[in-house]
Amino acid sequence: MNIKIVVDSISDMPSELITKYGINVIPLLVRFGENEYKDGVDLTADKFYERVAAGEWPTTSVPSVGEFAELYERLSSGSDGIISIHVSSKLSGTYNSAVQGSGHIGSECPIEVVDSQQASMGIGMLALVAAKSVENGDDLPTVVSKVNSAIPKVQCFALLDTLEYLQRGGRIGKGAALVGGLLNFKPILKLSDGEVFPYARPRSRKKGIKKLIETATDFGPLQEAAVMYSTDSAETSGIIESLSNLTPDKVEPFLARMGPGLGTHAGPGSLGIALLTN
Amino acid sequence: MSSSSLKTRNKPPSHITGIVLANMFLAAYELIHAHIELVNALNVFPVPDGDTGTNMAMTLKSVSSAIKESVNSGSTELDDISKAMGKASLMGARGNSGVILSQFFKGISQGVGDKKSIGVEEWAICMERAKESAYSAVGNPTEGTMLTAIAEISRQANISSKNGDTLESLFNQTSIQIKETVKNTPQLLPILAEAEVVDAGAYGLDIIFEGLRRNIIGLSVTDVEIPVPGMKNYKGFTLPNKIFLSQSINKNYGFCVQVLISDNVTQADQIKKAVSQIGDSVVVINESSMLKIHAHVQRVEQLLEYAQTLGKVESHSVDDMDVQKEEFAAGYIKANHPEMTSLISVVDGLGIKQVFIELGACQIIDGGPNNSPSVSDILTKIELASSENIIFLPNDKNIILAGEQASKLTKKNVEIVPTQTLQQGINCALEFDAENDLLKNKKLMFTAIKEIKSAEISTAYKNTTLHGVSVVAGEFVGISDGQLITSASTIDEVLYNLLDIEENNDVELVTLYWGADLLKEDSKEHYKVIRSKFQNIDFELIDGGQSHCIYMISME
Repeated sequence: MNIKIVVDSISDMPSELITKYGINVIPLLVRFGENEYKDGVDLTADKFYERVAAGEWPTTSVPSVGEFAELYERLSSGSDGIISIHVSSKLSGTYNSAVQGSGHIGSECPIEVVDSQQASMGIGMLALVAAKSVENGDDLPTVVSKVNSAIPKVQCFALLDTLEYLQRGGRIGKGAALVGGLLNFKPILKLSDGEVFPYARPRSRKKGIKKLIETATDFGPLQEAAVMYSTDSAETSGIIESLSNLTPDKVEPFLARMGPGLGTHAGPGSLGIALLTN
Repeated sequence: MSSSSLKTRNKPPSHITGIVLANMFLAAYELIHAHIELVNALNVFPVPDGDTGTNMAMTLKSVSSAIKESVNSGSTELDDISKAMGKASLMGARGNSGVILSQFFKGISQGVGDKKSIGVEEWAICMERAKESAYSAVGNPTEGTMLTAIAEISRQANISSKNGDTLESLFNQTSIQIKETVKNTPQLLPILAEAEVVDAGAYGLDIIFEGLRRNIIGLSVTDVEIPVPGMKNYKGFTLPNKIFLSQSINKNYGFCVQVLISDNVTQADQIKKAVSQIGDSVVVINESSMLKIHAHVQRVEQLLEYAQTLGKVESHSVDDMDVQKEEFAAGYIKANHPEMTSLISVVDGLGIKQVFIELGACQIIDGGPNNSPSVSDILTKIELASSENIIFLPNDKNIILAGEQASKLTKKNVEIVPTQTLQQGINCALEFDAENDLLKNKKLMFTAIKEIKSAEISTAYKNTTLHGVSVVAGEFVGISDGQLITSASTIDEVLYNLLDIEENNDVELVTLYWGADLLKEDSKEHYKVIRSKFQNIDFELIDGGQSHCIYMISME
């Protein structure tokens, strides 16, 4: 079976995974004013956060129907099917664009578009499930069914430095409950049913990191885990160490950089964990 | 460019040829480009992210590049140009509005087919196709958006076609029709009415069609401003999104109001009906002559006024709401979504009260010196809470017992988290999650109690020696975890002494709540001094307004 896997750039998948499993990443578009960049292609995370730090304000936009159609067309030749896994349709129009794009191709190659109900490595966890299923020689319906049944097992949490980015990007959802009060705290948000929910209110980053670790421990043991960061990789070391103890062979969790697309909404100083539970 | 290339005309054309169509959409792009910011500013639906204008302009930019490319390469026939436009819009479609717009171009391209020139009749077919494609492209078509405008454009084209109108008249009529549609969008889509805007995408389409119309009748599009239909004073209307966002924060919550009424004689059904007119999530419970009303409302006074007509209002859950409305909203229960667990807390001071409300307490009991709540005070609040599962934070060791007694008098499940200070209470409330069950909340809070150290600064009323510290009446004293630690003649000194012993104890964050007896300027000065002395510690200064001490301090 030659089955192709597509994810969007909001998945933040590290390059080693992309290379290892031959995953295709379709970039979202990140804009500074009228200048448009392909997320992670002609705009690196470093450059992106540098511009944000300098006071520029980014916005994102979904890949066009045509871009999806073109990618699917290209991948379809000689392949037995395509599974295309995307950021929660409640947070982005990417899924819709992909569905539209899949209807525009001429070939017979079946395409299954999946709404991950997740973001960042939450999508990545599902792509891993797909990749392992493909490796196992499964046919497209089996791969899709394995991915769909893994959706409720994915847990994704993020500790943000500020809710400003999420709020300005219009993606804050119920996380708005954590906005602005007398008491300062570092918000921890949870992605659930494809939406952003408030999760915890640690008063310092240190406590926030501790809370992320406790949360992962509560969900353990884990099949897979990932740790995400936007600007400070040093802060992830403690989380990586603790999460290693929760996976079967004490495998280190994947370390992923929140790219420009996700970073537009999470902002600098963000940390996250994505878990695939049993 | 050839002689048949892009230029302005004097007389309205009778038919749309490739060059006419090209010129029309180049003008539309120029016009929408000049209106990007205004369209962005109106964008509240589906996601209030302020990019509708940019998305529409980027989509048309890609169309206009394709037009120029096509003309420059010699393809000026209508079928070639409309196909190139359709493809370019599909590739260049940005955002929701862009996707819908690309379907619009797809419709034109389908309607044109292989024709080299079209009239009003064929344009009507193009618009019909555009409407069908646009509606089918959206998973969940919502009226009051660009889609409604496209439907109206198609309807108008059909009328013009049947009437045998000229192109000029078709586009004049269409523009009039779109403006009416834009004006009406808030009536079709309530979120627009709430944000007091018209739909951004529909207005974008109005601009595009103004571009088309102006080009057809030979008017320039340079330096032209297309007013927003149905809106006045939109100039200087720079960030409605921000206003709307702050509104939408409140919108999700509304106010959870509960009223206990005695001597009621009105039938519960009748009351339920009446309250349903005021709010939702209405629950009316009649226990003998006692009546309990629960509702989620936007206007609290409206419900209270009605409640007063029913009998004697014994108590209500918003009786001590005296901090700002929007600050309250965040702490209150989401409409149509009852809490799994409710939080009740004893407070002292306005600022402290606000902190607890912001952290999700649905019932507040005023405490403080000489104001110890009675068992029945606590019981009333327990009964008023929307949930059957209650976390009670006494925040004073002398109130724990009253809480325990109250918990024995109710059928509800009450967990008392034995907080002895407000600082501990706040740290527990930070863990509160109304969606979690009682035990999960309790477990997190029992841990949270131990995570902070509570201290306070007060004035000594008499000479004494305690824990080896001698105190002169009128001096300031520092107490930490219930132990007298230090006394001095200035607040600065006491503050310094209290923190000095903690510096080696891994304290990272110190929150100072200044009390009702202190001036804001003084507390700011203390804050400034102490921050400069302990640079390894983060400090936060909060207007607690408590009356039981000068400073409440939490150290963690």
